[in-house]
Formats: sequence, C-alpha cells, structure tokens
Amino acid sequence: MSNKDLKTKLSASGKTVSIDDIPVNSEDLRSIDAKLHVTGKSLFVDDIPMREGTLHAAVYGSEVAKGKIKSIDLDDARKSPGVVAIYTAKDIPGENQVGGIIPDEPLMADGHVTFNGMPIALVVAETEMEARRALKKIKVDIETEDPIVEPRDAFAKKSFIMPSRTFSIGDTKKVWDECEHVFEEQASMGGQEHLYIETQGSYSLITENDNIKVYSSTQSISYVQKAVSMVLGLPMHKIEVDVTRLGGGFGGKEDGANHWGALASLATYFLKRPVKLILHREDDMRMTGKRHPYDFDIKIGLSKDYKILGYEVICYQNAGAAADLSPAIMERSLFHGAASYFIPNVKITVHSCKTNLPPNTAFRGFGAPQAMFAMESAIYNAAAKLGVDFDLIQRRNLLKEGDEFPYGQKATQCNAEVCFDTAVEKYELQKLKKEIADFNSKNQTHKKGLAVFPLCFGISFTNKSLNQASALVHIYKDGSVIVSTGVVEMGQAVYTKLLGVAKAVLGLKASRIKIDSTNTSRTANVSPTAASSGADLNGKAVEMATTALRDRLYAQAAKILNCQPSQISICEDIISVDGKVVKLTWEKLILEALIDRVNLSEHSHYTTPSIYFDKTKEKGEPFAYHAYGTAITVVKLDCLRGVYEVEQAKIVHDFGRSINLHIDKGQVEGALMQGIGLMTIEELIFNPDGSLRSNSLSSYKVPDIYSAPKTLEIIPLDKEGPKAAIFGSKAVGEPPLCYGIGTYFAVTEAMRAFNPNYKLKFQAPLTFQKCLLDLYDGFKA
Amino acid sequence: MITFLLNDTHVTTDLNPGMPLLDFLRSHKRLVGTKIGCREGDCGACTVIIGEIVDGKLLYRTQTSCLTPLGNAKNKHIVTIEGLNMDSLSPIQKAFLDQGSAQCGFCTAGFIVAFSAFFLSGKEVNLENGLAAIDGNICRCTGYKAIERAVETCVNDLAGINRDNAISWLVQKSYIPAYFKDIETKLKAVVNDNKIDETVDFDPDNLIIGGGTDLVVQQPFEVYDKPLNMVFDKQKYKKIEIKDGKCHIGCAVTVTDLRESDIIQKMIPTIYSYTKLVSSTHIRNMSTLAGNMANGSPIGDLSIMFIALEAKLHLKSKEGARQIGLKDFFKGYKKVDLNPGEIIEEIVFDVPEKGTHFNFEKVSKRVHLDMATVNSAMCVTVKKGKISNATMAVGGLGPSIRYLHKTNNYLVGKEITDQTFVEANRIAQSEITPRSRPEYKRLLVKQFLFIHLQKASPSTLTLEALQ
Repeated sequence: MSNKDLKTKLSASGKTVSIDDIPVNSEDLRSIDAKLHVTGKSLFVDDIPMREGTLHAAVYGSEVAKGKIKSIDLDDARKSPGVVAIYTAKDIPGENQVGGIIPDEPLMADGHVTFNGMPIALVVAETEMEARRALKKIKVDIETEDPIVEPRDAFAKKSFIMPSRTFSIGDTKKVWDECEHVFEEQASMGGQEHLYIETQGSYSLITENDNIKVYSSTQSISYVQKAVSMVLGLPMHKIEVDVTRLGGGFGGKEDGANHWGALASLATYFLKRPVKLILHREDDMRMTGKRHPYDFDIKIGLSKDYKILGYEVICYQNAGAAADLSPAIMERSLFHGAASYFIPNVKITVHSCKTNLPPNTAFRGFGAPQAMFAMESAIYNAAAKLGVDFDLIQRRNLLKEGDEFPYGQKATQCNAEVCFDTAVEKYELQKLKKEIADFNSKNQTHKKGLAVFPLCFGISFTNKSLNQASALVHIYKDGSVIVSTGVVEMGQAVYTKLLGVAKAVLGLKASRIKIDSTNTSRTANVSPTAASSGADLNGKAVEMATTALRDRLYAQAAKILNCQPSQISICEDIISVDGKVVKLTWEKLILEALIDRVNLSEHSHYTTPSIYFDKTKEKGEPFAYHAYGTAITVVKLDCLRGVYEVEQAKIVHDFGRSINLHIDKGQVEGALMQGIGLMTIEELIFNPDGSLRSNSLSSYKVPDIYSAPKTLEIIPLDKEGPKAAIFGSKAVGEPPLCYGIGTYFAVTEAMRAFNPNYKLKFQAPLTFQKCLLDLYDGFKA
Repeated sequence: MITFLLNDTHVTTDLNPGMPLLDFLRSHKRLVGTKIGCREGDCGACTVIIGEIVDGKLLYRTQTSCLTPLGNAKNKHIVTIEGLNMDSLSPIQKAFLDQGSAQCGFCTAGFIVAFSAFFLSGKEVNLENGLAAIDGNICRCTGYKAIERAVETCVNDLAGINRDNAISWLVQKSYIPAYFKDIETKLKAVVNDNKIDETVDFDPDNLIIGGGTDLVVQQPFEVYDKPLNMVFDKQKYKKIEIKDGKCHIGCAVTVTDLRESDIIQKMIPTIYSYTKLVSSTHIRNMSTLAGNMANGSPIGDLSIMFIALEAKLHLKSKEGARQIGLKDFFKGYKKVDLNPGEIIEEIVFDVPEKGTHFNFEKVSKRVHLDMATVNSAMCVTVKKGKISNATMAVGGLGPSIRYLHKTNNYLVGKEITDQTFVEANRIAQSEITPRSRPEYKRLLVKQFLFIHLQKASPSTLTLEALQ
C-alpha cells in the first residue's frame, strides 16, 4: 500500500506509529490469491483432493412450485447402478430446519412443497453421473396447488413473511398540499441471479468419534456449522467448517450455502464416508434464492423550485417461499428509501411478500439498489413531466452535513455534494451533455443518453450483534506469523487487506505472514462475510491483535537493547532504535521472547462502537458511516434494433483513505458491471406456474466482455476517512453496484431522444425487448 | 484407444470417447485448474487449447472441454493451464496479476488459457482480436476492465510477433514453456501412428456427433452410452471448395473454418462479421455447420444464413444418397428430415451472383454469446434497379425456421422504396405467427426486413417507412 494512502496513525501503548513511515513494496498491493489464480493452482471445494471412498450426492428438487406430496417412489432410483443411499426429510435425525432469521424453511420438503426446486430427496452414489442418472428415476406425486409468483398477488392475499415495517420522518399526510407538483407512479425491479461461477458445494468428511469436517463454499462458516449441527442433532463442537476461498459469493452463499453443507453432512453422518455435493449449474439456478424482485408505488411532491418536499414509497418485496434473509433485506430497503437525498417528509413502507419462488436472499446491495431505483424513478418521472434536467433535481436535494435520515441518524462527514460536484467538474458534465445533444441532432438511427447517479450507502450490519469480529494471531518461533479470522475470501482480496494490516502493524515483510483458511475451530461464532464489512470488522480485529503482540515485542526488544519501547521501531523486518538499525534480528527477538516466556499468540475481539437501533421507534444510529459517490453514465442506442451499449462510465468514489486502491478500484469496476447487468440484460423469468424459465447460462445472460463500458474512469474523492473504517479506508464491496442504476436512466434518455412520446415506464431491467417496443410505441405495427 | 498429447505428456486411454474431456482432465489426470462452471459451453471456465496438424502445420484453437467428447481429443495436443505454467509467471499471467484481472479466480485459468491460445493462433495481434479470443469467457467479479488492461498490455508487448514462427518467439519471450517447440514433431508422429478412420459407418443405432456443442449439452447420458459415429476429424468432411459455380461445405467444417476460409472471404466477405454474433470463439471452433442444421433448432444462425443462400443438403445413408433444399429440411421443433444413421455430408449452394446483397440480423438478450430472440438472413439481388431475387428467412418465431415465401415472391420485380417495404412488411406479418412475445417478434421482423432492404439500397429507403 502506498504511504500516501495510509495517513491514519496507529496508536500503541503511549507511542504513535505513522504508517507513512513504513515503506511498502507496490507489489504487495496485488491480491495474494491472484498469484495462485493465474496459474490455476488455487483450490476450491471441488478441487480438494478426494479421500478414499468418497461418494457423490445429487439433489432431487420439486418439479412443481406448490402442492402436497402424496407419495415419493424411490424404488427404481435405489436400484439404479452405483446408488448407495437415498434420503428424504423423514431420515433427518435432528431438526429439518435451515431458516436463519425465522425457522420457517425445511431442509427437505416434508408433506408440502413451497417452491419449484425445493429439495425432496438426496441421492448418494459412487459417481456423480450415477447419482444424476438416478435422479431421473425418482417419482414424486404431488397434488398441485396454485402458486403465488407476483408480490402484489401475495399482498392481495395477505401472504407475508413477517409484519410490514415503515420508516418515516416529517408528515407525508400534510405535505402534498404544500407541494407545487405531485406525481404518482408505479415501478418495479426484477431479481438477479448471483451467477457465482463456482456453484454451491460442500465436501463432508467423517473424522474420529463421528465428528464431521465440512469444506463448504460459504460466506459464513458459523451458519453452515449451525445448520449441520441442527440437522444432525449434534453439538456444534462436533462440526468443523473450513473455507479456503469461494469462486464468487455476492451474497448467494451467505445463508444459501447451509442447505448443501447440511445435505452432504447428512449422508456422511449415516454412511461414514466422505460425501461431495456440488450443484449442477441448472440445479443451482433453480433451487437457490436470488436478489429480491420488488414492486413499488411511488409518490413524490416538489416545490416550485424543485425541492423535494415529500416522498412516499410502498415496496412489495418478493421474498419467496421462506424468510431466509428477507427481514434484514427489508430493513436495508427501509434505510435506503430516500437514497442520497434529504427530504423533510418521507414515508417508506416495505411489505415482505411470501410467494412460491425459491427463498430470495442476500445479493450485493441487499435491498438498497431496489429502494434507490424507486427513488430515482420518482425523481426522473418528475423531471420528465416538468421538462427539467434529471440532474438538476438530483443536485438540488442532495444530503448535506447534519441532515437527518428518515431513521434518525445525522449525516456526518457527508460527501454527497462534493462527490457530485467533483464529477460534474472533472468530467465536464455540461460539455458531455452538449456533445450528446449534437450527436443526437445529427444521427437518425443512433441516439445517446446520459444520466447522473449519486450514491449514499450505509455501512454496518443493520443487525447490531453481527458487528463483531475476532482474530487469532500466532508468531511461531522461527518468526513466521499466521493470522486467522472469520472473514471469507471470495475475490474481494480481503486476505490481502488483512495481510496489509498485519504487515503494517508488525513492521514485517509480507512473506513472513500467512493468512490462514477460515475455520470454525480457530474462530467461533463468526458473522458472515457480508454487508461490505469484512475488511472493517476483521481488519480492526487483526489490528488489535497485532498491536498487542507488537507492544509485547517492543518491550522485549527494549529489554534486550536497554532502551525504552518508544525508541524501538520495526520496518520490513529491520529493528531500529531511534531510527538507527541495530543488530538484533526479528528471528532473534522472537526466540528471546519465547525463552523469556512472552506470549506470542493473541486473540482479539472487535465490536463497532456507538451504533444502535431502536426497532420500537424505528430510529437510531445504525451505521458506522456512509460511503458516497457519483457516477455519470453515457449510452449509445441503436434505434433500429433496440440494442444499446454503455459507452462511458465516469465515477467519483469516496474510498475514504484506501488502504489498497488497486483492489478497491477493482471492486468498483466489478460492482458497477454487476449493477449494469441488473438494470439492463439480466432478466429472471418465472413462468406463471412458478418454474424458472431462465434456468441456465444460455437463457440467463450476465454481462460478457463486450458488455463492459467502453471507457471507465474512477476518481477517488480526496477526503479523510472515518475512524470506524479500517485505517480510514471505507468499505467498498456493495455500494458501487448501485452506480448501475444510472444506466437505466441514460438509456431512457436515449430512447426519449428517438421517440419523445413513448409512455415512460420504470421497469428494470431495461431489456432490449422493452427498449425496442418503447422506441416504436405509438408507431404503426 | 484414444491417443493424444496432454501438455508435455503422451496419453493413451481406452476410456469412453463420449466422456467430456473436462471430466477426463479433472478426475483422471487431476488437472483441476480447468474448472466446471456451467457444462454448456457458456462460461469458458473449462477452456483448453487444442492443437492439431492441419495441412502439415500445427494449428492451435480453443475449445470448452465440457463439451468436447474425449474421442475428439484423438491425435491432438491438449493444453491446460498446468501446461502453460513455468517456473515464473508468463507475461500473460503477470499482466493478469498486475492489472487486478483475477478476483475470485474461478474463471481466471480459463481466461489465461484462452488468451494464451490467441498468440498461438496465428491471428493478427491487436486489441480487437485479443478481446475476441476471450469472448467466450465469463467473469462475474472484475467487470472485465482489468482483464482488458491485461490484454492490452500483452498485445502491446507482442505487437512485433513473427506469426509464421510464433512458437519459438513465444518460448523465447517466456509466454509458453519450451516443450512447445517439440510438439509439432511429436504430434506428427502421433498422427502417423494413429490414423483416423475415414470410413463412415451408417449404422442407424449410432449417434452421429460432430463438435459436441449441442449433443453433449442436450443428451449427455446418450453420448456416453451409445456407440458414436464421430465425424469431427474426418478429413473428407472438412473441405470448403467451389466446383462448377457451386460452393461445397463438408459437414465437419466448423463455424471458425467457415469464417476464416479464403474461399468464403472472397465470395461473401460479410460472413466474417455476421458469424461474430454466433456464440463465442471457443464454441465456433467446435460447432459444425451441419450440426447447427441437424439439431433442427428454430434459431440456428447458420441454418438461417444458408437458407437465405438457398443451400441444399447432400445426405447419405446405407440406402444411398439424396438431396434436399435446406428450407424444406426443417419439419418442426427440433425435427428434421433425416433418417437414423443418415448423415449430412455436404452443404451446397450456388455462388451468389453479382448484385446480390446478403445480410444477416440477430437480436438476442445479450449482443454476443447468446441465442437469437429473432434472427434473419436475406439475399436481395438487384438488377437494373429492381429486385430479381429475394430470400428472407427468419428464426425464433415458432417451432422451426420460416422462409417467407410470399414476401420473397412479392419483392421480385419491385424497386426498393418505402412503399415496397410497407407492403412487403404487411405480407411478412401475415405469414408469421410468433408463438411467444408476438408483439416484440413482429416488430423485429419488420425492423430486420427494413434493414435487409436498406442495406441493399441505402439511398431509396427512408426511416419514415417505419412509421
């Protein structure tokens, strides 16, 4: 990490060490995992060398979305070559339950099925192919009932996951009369398939005394540990869960990995043999929950000078057949209902609608992108109807320092306006707009459009108790260091960030430090790697543990060198006293400390300070801080074919003081693309019978290399970061996904340039189909 | 027995030729850098490089190993990520590392393999071609910009590559391991020792398989269980030639072979850009034209193009040979006029006459690497300002491809004007019945007809005609 990026001072036992003083090789910025990835040597669950006698499992999922199971005929399947065993719900020795927040989700269907793809039976065979062949021989007779697919239908039938919740500020009942302009609209946003390239999977081993070790592709080792323990009726200490890395998670493996860990372990438990369960892609797509589709009713009121005085939104969240993480996602929608604006009168309501889709779950952004899209739709609609620029209304209503969010927290270190203004200035917004207007006036068949999107994203788990983390750091007697935490590496290079923290505090070369796999025996009761919080929470824990170790070692060095600890410094393995290099080596120091019986291990526990939330009042200070930014998106639309491409994305992002800009920019780039996919080509299609039509990579399209913006610029905002962020470096995982929302409105602008008269719609994703139909809306067919 | 070179080793196996190469690599050779992402050729995580001796020279291309039947590895050089690794990182690996092009890493080896193949492929080294080489690889983490930067870095580095002697160049610059220098000699020896049987068995019980891109996805168990009639490597089926004013394309010719054929380039240069919309580089390297037709898909891009070119199929079976017009070949959803054991030997069409405009249009959910929502091809021959022949074919409207007889008939003898278009569209709309999304598909047919005609006569057709 470059020294300029690390201006935060570390304090340690009366002594302040500046990270600026620690020279760091720029190669250390690169992901430590990537060194393995580029050679194909990094191991994922499916790559772990198999133990002798390993069996392979496959899951039979319900073919219908809703109904009563009349019979399950396994006779033919049992006779299928290679089949060792088949299990159903009645075989579960513990509880048939994997619900996280609410215990409403059976691991395998028992009596009823509630979504298409719901696991009914687990086939275990000598080979994967034999297991898959046997699946085709299972016959399940289900008395079909009418499923609910759409959230508004669920709402009408009062089918809910939990009671609805409302956040409000001011009084939206009275405000409409004060408004010069009031607009009402409906909007909707489709769900999104995670499409981690590594599908869900688990490999369970039996160890001595019927203990079980699970290698799982999970974002939460503790959730899998708990699920396996519940399902098998065993105490948690008999279950060890280990994760080296995931081939992508994006939220889909937060609660979503529990089922497969539990199913593989169920077979291991009975058969006393290792069992591997890796989901086939189509099974993964069909059986697992996705980003929640939302429907919205929106109402916005503005003053004569385009100040937004009132905003009301009712969100119909399509939660699917069980709660999963929907209550928490509902909460984040409530928190982000007013997006990055200050509006004095706001009312945000979310109904968590129970339908017969697979239980929808966490996905990068976690309910916030949906809420933000509703807010932006309301503003765009008003701007279009009033004939003013979208960005004029956006800019005029941005959050300012000290403004109150609808949930009671005040905006501090608020960078909404400075991000926006920096983007307008650095990227020459007015010039861009002029260029687009010129292009559009000269071209008949191609039109361009531009939109600005301001971002404000709250950082912390909104469930306070999850905002804790621990780290275990050992220094071995040869001077090498090993760090364990509960964070899961899934491409966000969080291990590299932790390494950076340990290295900076201890003053060692990177090669001396290893970040170990994530394991329940080394780290207990772990929060999932989610909510963009992995680096903050676990980085702080590592900072605490390494600082304690360093203090002990400085004292030991002072004792050896006959000086004060404050005179000692260690940098890139070299020990100095008052800046002068001494002969004492790191290895020697460690040996001396060991002989002197100094504790060379440290376990730390970090909790985010000062956050709280009172659900009875729906007010509090739930976030440690907010991340801000602004994106300008330019698209080019082919009006004959109704297809478009993103020409430019220009972003000013508030990283705080990034501890690793190389990695953080990569997070912005990747999140942006995922957000663009969400708003454009990624279309989940469910049939009226609740089955998933877009159930493979050939029918569900994520962005490919030609979908990437032709040019992408990212300017880091030049501002200090908050104390609650690790070294002032703000969380970056989820927030930039929301930049993709701008693409929707940029395309809308281009469409209006071709056909000013089409009826505006706010229905994401804006597929090529919707685009062409609206381009020729009002034309003769 | 299947014999081939795998990285720097010699492999002989009697395993099932219908097993996906991917499973052979991972389960039998523990080459686990090749990943399982989708098993339908749509993600590229399992990409391998396949080298073969073509016209006495070693030619390298990429394939997705999930869809490659093990039997098609015979006499080839298969390269996985492990076969590219050296003591230190190659410049490609280093560029991916330096540019942050690998996040979760699950897709990374596929990208490195595909991009390494680019420099072996003999293609002109530039950014556009470099990106095209990885157009079949999906990354869900990086958003591709970091991958683009790595590609750009290497393309700049290798701008001066000697394409005729690429392997020694690449070895010298540490892009590939030194063992590559001996592969051509070794592989020729393998080919010499293990001749491909050129005879064809027309047994009706056999499953005829080409590149495997459709069958391995749709019928993986059947491909594994049934006796296979493997035509992919039969040299007699790999020819593109012109005889007596007709172009003959063998059934094992791949989409890439078609794209890169000098004969096709001279005759219909636009095929190169049209076929960029057909799947991805890796799949085009595997999928055969005949396979595209035999599977009877209502949206087969190549079927559509060759119907518009008024192609005929030359079929052969135990009973003998017969010919059928391609447009009459399709009998319903995935149903074609092909008897068990019968093989499409050749696709034959007249070399287009002067004044013929051949156009292909395709709209899908994603522009590239996707199946068509609606696709259409059309030849419009204009003589003395009037249409003398028109051949519009459309896919995606129902169970099989539609040849718009009435519309095409109407157009003959007409000048291309707004009025002609309006009337032609009215007729076209009357002879189609889209089963799903009718409003959208009808609109697409209208747009495509407009574009076909406009490309044939840009100055006489205006946008007003669409109103």
